[in-house]
Amino acid sequence: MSSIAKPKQFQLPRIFPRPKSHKGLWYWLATVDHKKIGTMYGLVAFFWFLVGGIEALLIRLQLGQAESSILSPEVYNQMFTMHGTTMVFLVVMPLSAAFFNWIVPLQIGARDVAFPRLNALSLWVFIFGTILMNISWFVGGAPNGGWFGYPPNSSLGFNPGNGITYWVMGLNILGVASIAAGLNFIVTIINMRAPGMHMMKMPVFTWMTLITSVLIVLALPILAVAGIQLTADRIYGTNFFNSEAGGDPIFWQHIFWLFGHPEVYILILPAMGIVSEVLPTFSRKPLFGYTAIVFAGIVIGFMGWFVWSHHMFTVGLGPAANTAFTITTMLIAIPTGVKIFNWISTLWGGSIKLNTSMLFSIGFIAMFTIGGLSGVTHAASPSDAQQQDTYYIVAHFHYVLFGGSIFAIFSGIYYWWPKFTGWLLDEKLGKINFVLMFIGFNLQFGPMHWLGLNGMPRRIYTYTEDMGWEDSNLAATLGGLIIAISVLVFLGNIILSKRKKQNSGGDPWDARTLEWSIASPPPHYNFVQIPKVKHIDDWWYRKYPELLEGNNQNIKKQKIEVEDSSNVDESKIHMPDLSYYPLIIGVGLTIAALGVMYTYALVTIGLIMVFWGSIGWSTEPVNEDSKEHH
Amino acid sequence: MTKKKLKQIFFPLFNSLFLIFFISCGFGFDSPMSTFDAQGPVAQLQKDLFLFVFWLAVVVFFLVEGAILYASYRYRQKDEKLPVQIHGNAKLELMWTILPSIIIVIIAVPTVMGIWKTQVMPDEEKSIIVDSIGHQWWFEFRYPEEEIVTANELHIPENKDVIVNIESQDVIHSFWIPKIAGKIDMVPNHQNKLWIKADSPGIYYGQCAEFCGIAHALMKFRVVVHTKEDFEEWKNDMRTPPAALNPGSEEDEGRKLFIGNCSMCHTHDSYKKAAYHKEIQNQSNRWEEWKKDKEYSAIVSAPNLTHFGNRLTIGAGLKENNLETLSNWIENPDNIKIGTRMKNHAAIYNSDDQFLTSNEIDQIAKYLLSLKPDRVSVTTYTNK
Repeated sequence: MSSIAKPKQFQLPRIFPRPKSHKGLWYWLATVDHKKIGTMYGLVAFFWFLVGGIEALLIRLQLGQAESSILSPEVYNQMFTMHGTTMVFLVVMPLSAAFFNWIVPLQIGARDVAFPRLNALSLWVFIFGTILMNISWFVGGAPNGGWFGYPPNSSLGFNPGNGITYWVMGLNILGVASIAAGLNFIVTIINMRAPGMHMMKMPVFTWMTLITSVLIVLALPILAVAGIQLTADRIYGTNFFNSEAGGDPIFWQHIFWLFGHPEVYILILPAMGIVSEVLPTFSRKPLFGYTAIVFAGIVIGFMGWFVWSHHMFTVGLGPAANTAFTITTMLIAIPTGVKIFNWISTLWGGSIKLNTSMLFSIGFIAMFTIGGLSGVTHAASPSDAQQQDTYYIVAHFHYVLFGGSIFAIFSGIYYWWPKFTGWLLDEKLGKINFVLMFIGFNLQFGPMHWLGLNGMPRRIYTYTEDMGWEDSNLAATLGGLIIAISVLVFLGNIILSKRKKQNSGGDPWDARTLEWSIASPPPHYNFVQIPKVKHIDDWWYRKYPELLEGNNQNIKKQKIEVEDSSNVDESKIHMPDLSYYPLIIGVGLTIAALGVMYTYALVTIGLIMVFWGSIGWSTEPVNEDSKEHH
Repeated sequence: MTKKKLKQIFFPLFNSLFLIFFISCGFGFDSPMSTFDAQGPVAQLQKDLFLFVFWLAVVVFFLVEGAILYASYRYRQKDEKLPVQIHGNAKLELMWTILPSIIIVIIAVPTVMGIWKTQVMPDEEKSIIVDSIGHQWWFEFRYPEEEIVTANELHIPENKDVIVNIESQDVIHSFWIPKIAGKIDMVPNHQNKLWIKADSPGIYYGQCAEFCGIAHALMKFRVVVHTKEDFEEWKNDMRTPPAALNPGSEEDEGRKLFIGNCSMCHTHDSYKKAAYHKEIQNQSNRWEEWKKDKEYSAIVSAPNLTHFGNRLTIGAGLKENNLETLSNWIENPDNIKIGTRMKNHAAIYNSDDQFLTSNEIDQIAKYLLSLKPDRVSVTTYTNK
């Protein structure tokens, strides 16, 4: 390869040597392997899932009784703000990103993502962004303006202190990570598919990743603009949202929800992708209506841009606007319904294996349906005037985001765990995990429908006994505790299963897509040989070639082993070297963001680090010239 | 999968769902804020529309969930044989695209009609006009035609169209009387209108529904719906001076203390002629003063206390208005409501030489309770 003499390129002098070893802390800090990055995304996001869960539990404990005083109102407001922000930006998005990272390159038969170092940048910027946002707890109070941060309540005049600024800076930093990751996955999916895998042969999870990534790239910049405007209002005295100086707080709501509604689909489309992989595998038949499911996903992603004002039905935009947004919102039910019916038809006539992963996926359809139906009841904007900002809405979106996204993520964890690690999670504990979570979830969020319709507003830290809300709230709190136990069972399952280490092999589920055609865990280069793809679910048809001949009875499975990577000459496989520059940029960005609140000295230091990292990165070769020539 | 295993999984699921169902049914719909107990045409329309969509959703719910449970049970794995491989069915898929579309149209028609019915205001000439202004954390009510101003208690007659002009002075709040009408936001510099109409006399609960800061949970109000005659009397009352006080009585001492310590922010004599416009000007001045120095401003926006003795509640709908709660409030508003500007700004809480003794506090409370016209026949209404 290096027989052609390259001109000598400028390279920024290194302060630290480029790490080479594939072990130890340095490796993890400088890795560009999509699987390692996926693992770190998953671990960090799961940590925040526990934190966000504890925040939820504290909220539930406070509301379990009328007039209780477990949390002070100040802390309560911080708690629900951070619970929402955490679960959206620090949990569901990065857990989806963990799956994108781990699974997409494997599903499309690639060795890595298109820009491995950019991928590392996303990870580090994300990690430091989460830390930045949560530092606020310890330096004068966490953000307390709600996850929607409406001004004027979030403006400096009504909200002095740095909480809200931490929130905005954190969101902006996380936005950088998401946009970089979104671009990376768009390029990866469009350019790096294995030969023969044209778009309509892509696995549905990869399709949903692509749609989600497009939404991320288009939606997150809107939030960034809103965030910068709010920061400017708070720090530099601008008046974007200050109505007394001609600004407009409603303007914030429009831009926030113009981001915020596509964001909802950013949270749910990956879940739909996961379910669309799990259901066919454990029904042992193809996804019913692949094309319809893919196009329904595209239509949902597209229509998600035209519904934002349904979050603002009570703002007073007038009957014409409310009518328009009522209708667009109702229309979204149609592609969503198509997906649900196709999933059920995938089950129909199958040979269903009810293991933990499958139970979570079936639970997803069942719970997501409830969330979708309650969604239609407040798409009807006159009734929404009674439901807006009540617990009915809280119930609705938890059925979508917990019963939907989180159930699907658990399904994905149980499904791909053997691919991640090479060993299986325990099924018995898995089922206990599912049953407890299912019961706890419904006990927590089911009664909230009643609460909302009986007039309980959201975001109140207390209520009086005579309102008649106590029983439902107590039930909800008990449900929350049951969910907590189910998460403990899940953690216990990991620990106990790790001890047993029941070998899974490369393809424990007799699954369909390319990631199951290689060893578990996969070698760092993934595929010894890049596969040539002929069909949707190519791996499945390699195992059951008779199906392609139109046979439908007494199909025999071909004995095909997953790819053996034990005797591979790794030097022949071209993989990028490690790089610590993404980490430096991530740290630099965070220091600069802190400096915006405290001192320009920190901004300068941070920007110097970002500059150093960028120049170093752009002048560093993908591979160091190795001494041996081949 | 054996039958026993199935039982292990499905039985707890069904049991839990039934449990939740029964618990939920036991909750009933009788909360003072229940949207099920509609008491006016707007709330009634909103409730009817909800129930219409709800019952359609229930049908879809049982079909879909039934299909999921049936398929998961009926097609559970029995042997290692591969099931028949089906990739799709164009006719079926077309059907479940079209069928929901039809359901959407069926829902959309009454919805759109409902939007126009509830959002197009009735004839202003034949309606009562009320301005409601949201403040952190209380509601101001003004009757521009009658030149009456009050706080935290909206008085309207039964069976009469009322147009509420809704605005906010500071942050965004939301105006909501669940039994009478769905909410609309109170936005600074942005006037919204809400049509309300109550079927029968009684006391209704209202509450702020948009997160507005530390005391959001404690920002409530009451709506007193009068009979036609009583409403006229109430209006007259609001223009009548309160009963005279005996000089030297406790109430009279309280009056002096009130004037000295409280009256810069709390107007309590809007029954006077031309007091209405003065009060609007005063509220606006208080607001400007507070904005100039949010930490130490000596005056802040505060509820009008005219005829406070007739008020049902204190602290914006928080506690019953009586001597005990009122003294407790004056002694330290934090006892009842966190975050009040009164606690943060009034000299009696913040300046060593102006603290009040408990006796003085009692006198002020007694004075405030004496603020009502000397008239016997006040109809008492019950909570709805």
